[in-house]
Amino acid sequence: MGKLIATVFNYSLDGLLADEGTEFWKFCFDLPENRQRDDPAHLDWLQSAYAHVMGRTSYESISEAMTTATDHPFADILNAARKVVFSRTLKTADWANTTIAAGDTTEEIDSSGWAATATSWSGAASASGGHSCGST
Amino acid sequence: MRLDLIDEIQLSTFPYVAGEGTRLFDGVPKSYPLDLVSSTASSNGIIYLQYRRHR
Repeated sequence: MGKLIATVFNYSLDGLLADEGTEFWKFCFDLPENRQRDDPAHLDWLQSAYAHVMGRTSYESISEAMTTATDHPFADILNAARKVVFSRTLKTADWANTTIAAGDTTEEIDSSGWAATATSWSGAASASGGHSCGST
Repeated sequence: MRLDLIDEIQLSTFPYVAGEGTRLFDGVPKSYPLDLVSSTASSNGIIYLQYRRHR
C-alpha cells in the first residue's frame, strides 16, 4: 500500500476554502510568497510523489495554470509528473502524463500500490488551495 | 475521507475568517481521529499543520 497525502491550501480559520473571486481569494494571493511555493524541501516532496491525484475541477484549473504560468515553481514538476484525475464525465485529458480514473475510488487507489500525493487546488490562478482527492 | 483512504493531511491555515467559501470538511465521518505530526508558523501568518490518520 502506498501513502495518500491530502494537501490543502487557502484554508480559512472558519474552515472554508477560498472560492475564486471572493475577498478571501484576493487575500490569499495578496500575501507575500509563502514557503510552500518555492521551498526546495517542498519542491522535492512534490517531485517525490509517485502520482498527483485530483478531482476533475482541480485538475482542470491546475492544468490550465501550470501550462500557462510555466514560470511557476511547481510548473516543471507538475507538468512532468504522473497525474491521475478522478472523473466519470471526463473523456479526454490533454495535460501530459494523465490517467483518467473512472472506476470505484477505493479500488482505483488500492490497486495502484502508489506512494501517492493527493493534491487539489481550487480555482484557475497560479497557486491556490483545495481539498483532497475525490471523484466528480 | 469518507472512504478512509487518506493517510496524511497537510493543511495551510490562513489568518483569515472568510465567512463565505467552500466548506472543506463536509459529509465527513462522525469520528475521524488524527495525530498531529508537525505545526509550523510562517512569518506571513500561515500555519502549516501536518496530521496523520490515527489507525
